[in-house]
Amino acid sequence: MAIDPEPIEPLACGRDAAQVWDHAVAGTLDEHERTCPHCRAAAADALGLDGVVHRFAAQRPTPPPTVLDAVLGSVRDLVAAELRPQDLIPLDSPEGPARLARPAAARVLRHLVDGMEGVRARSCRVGTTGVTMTVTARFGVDLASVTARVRQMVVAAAEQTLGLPVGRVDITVVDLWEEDPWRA
Amino acid sequence: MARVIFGDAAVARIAAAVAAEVPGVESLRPDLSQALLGLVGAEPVRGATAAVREGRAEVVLTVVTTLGHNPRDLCVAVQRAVAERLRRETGLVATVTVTVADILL
Repeated sequence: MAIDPEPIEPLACGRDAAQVWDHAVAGTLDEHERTCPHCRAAAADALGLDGVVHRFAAQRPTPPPTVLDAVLGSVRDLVAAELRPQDLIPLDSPEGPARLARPAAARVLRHLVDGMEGVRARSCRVGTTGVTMTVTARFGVDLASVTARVRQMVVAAAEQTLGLPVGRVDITVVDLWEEDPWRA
Repeated sequence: MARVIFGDAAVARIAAAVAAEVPGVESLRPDLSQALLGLVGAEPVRGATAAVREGRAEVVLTVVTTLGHNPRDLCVAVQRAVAERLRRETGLVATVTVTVADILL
């Protein structure tokens, strides 16, 4: 998959989200990155993903009864769950053909973006050339930073949690929401 | 000289058992025909099929994993484990195709 040649927009403070991300993971954030709200949000994203990768890998959850559910479920559900060839993304394996179901990949990316501060994922499509995602953002969150952060999350999550190199990442902020003052 | 020949179902069952033991594999997922056979009381190998021809085996596995296990690395691990066990136990050279059908959140 070709790397997107277009320049990638920086965070609102001018820093590159990917660099801040690397510094956060390596624990080498500089003075600006520790204090700037845009950089701190990007650093929080990085640590959030890092936590997910290590926490879940360490867990050994009991298998849910998905096989039994599938068999006892209606025939219609079974037909709906059947994977068609176009639903599969090839994975890079030296040992033979390996594929990942597209809907599962999209669900993981949506889930991780949902965990980010000030952003909620709406739709996500994992295509052959890249990822197309729509998100909503909280009112008052810097929108340029949001797209840079979401892009960085998608690229890093695709590689670290899916094993999928991602070329192009298109993000559309489709709506804004206001924090419910009664819930705080 | 006597010859032991391994049938498709035997190879599929070995492959399924090996795959289920690989860390990160939560379960194997039956395809539609396997699930329907299961509904009528038959015992198909769930999530694994195999075709054996002249010392070679084509194995196809469908697995479910959880978030935190990299599907690419998981596929490689399953392919290695299954091919190695089949080579040792049956002498067959196996091509193993792995599909990660779902990632549990």
